Amino acid sequence: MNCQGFDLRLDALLDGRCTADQWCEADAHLAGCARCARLFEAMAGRADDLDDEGHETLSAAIVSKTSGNPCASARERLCDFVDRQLVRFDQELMDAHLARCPRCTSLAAALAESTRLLPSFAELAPREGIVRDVLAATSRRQADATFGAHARPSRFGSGSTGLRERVSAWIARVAQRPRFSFEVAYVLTLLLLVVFGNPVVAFRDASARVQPHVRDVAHAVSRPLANARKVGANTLASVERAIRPNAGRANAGPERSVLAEGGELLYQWWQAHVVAPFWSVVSEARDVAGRVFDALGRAAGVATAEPTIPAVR
Amino acid sequence: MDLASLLDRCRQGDDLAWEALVRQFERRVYSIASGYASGPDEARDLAQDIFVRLYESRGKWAPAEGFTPWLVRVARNVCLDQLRRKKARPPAEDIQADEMWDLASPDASPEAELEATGRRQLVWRALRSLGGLSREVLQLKEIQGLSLQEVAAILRVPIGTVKSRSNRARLELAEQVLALKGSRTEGGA
Ligand SMILES: [Zn+2]
Ligand SMILES: [Zn+2]
Repeated sequence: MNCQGFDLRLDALLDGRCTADQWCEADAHLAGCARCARLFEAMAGRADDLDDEGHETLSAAIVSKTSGNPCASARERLCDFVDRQLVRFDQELMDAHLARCPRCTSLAAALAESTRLLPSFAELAPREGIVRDVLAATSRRQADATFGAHARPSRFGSGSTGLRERVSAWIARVAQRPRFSFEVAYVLTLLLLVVFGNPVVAFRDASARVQPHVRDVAHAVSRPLANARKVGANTLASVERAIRPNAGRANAGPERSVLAEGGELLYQWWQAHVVAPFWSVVSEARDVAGRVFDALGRAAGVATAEPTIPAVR
Repeated sequence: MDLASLLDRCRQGDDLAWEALVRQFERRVYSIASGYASGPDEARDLAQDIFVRLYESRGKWAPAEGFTPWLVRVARNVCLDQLRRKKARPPAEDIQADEMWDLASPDASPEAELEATGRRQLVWRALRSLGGLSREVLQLKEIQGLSLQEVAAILRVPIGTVKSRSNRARLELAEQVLALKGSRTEGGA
């Protein structure tokens, strides 16, 4: 018989449910095994002569025979123990176990330390700050969001963007300003007038070769221009109101100031060259805007065709 | 800076507010990304992707009270998306990237910092040696400090499961710390 066999038979021995042969077997083992002898004495209630160490090994032996290794049970409660979440009774049980068990003690120490240190990883510094890259990426995205899905950059940070992208990005940033719709109606009209004299005739015979290129950009600015159309009437009305007083005063008397005279001229010019053509321009806003950008592109040497700018009146 | 106002301004398209927000959350987002990345460079890329996704969804941000858990959830989703996408590609050269994480604690005195950094390095290496599930639950609950309920909602598991998974992961981590300590002292002797 070995120790394991003795453990299995221990209950039967103590309860007196063993045959004579089994007793002899057990006796033979007890004679040669101090561990089992102590265990048997203790279980039979005759272990008063044990010293501390004896009690210790005996308790361990009893526990391992009955409930098994207690460390598994200690492990289950270790997190709550470290977090001080156990009720007092369990806390004391754990204290008692840890006092005897170096393995669980060192595990508890490691658990406490890592628990204390983990929150310090909530924020980590990248070796290189990422703020600049994020801002670059998102402002580019902002341009994309404004102009739809096309012309997305392949990867942030790649600096090789064509003139068209750069112009689009610039327009996109400008377009974020609240007054953009107001401004675009006004500035676009003036721009057309300054460059071409008359915006309606300016693009009557635009080159067909640049049409695909134009369509892209035209699509890109279509939304701001749709807004422009909405506020277009207000824009014209408010500019008129600004000019009117001067125009009225122009007829008032002999002391016609230069400003008043200028106002009169400006008003007539405005009516003839801006207000009348404005609505037809806006109605063709997509095409016109596309061609403006095409003209800008050609001026910057992007397109190969020679520009054919109509004569300014 | 008051987070609620900052978020409001960002929603209105204030670029300065957005910059401030990126600065405020850069390190946290990078830390979350590091839990899913094989190294600092990948974590950096992931952090950028997270912010871009954040920016694009400005209309749908959570209110200030629940912003951080919400941010953690978004960050996790972006990371998982990217990892799923990356699985098709072979992984980049798998260098021993652990040593390259910057774990210095800037607040401490030099000597205290050296010691603290050493201990943190140990815990960090132990953390990165754990499996994905354990690492993730530790990242969400212990590192980012989310509640059991919040973690349960993110991982879509019952609260009890979060609790037991978290405890198991913490014990794994502690054992790994002990193992690394052991190998370190053996190596030193
Ligand atoms: Zn024996
Ligand atoms: Zn133990």
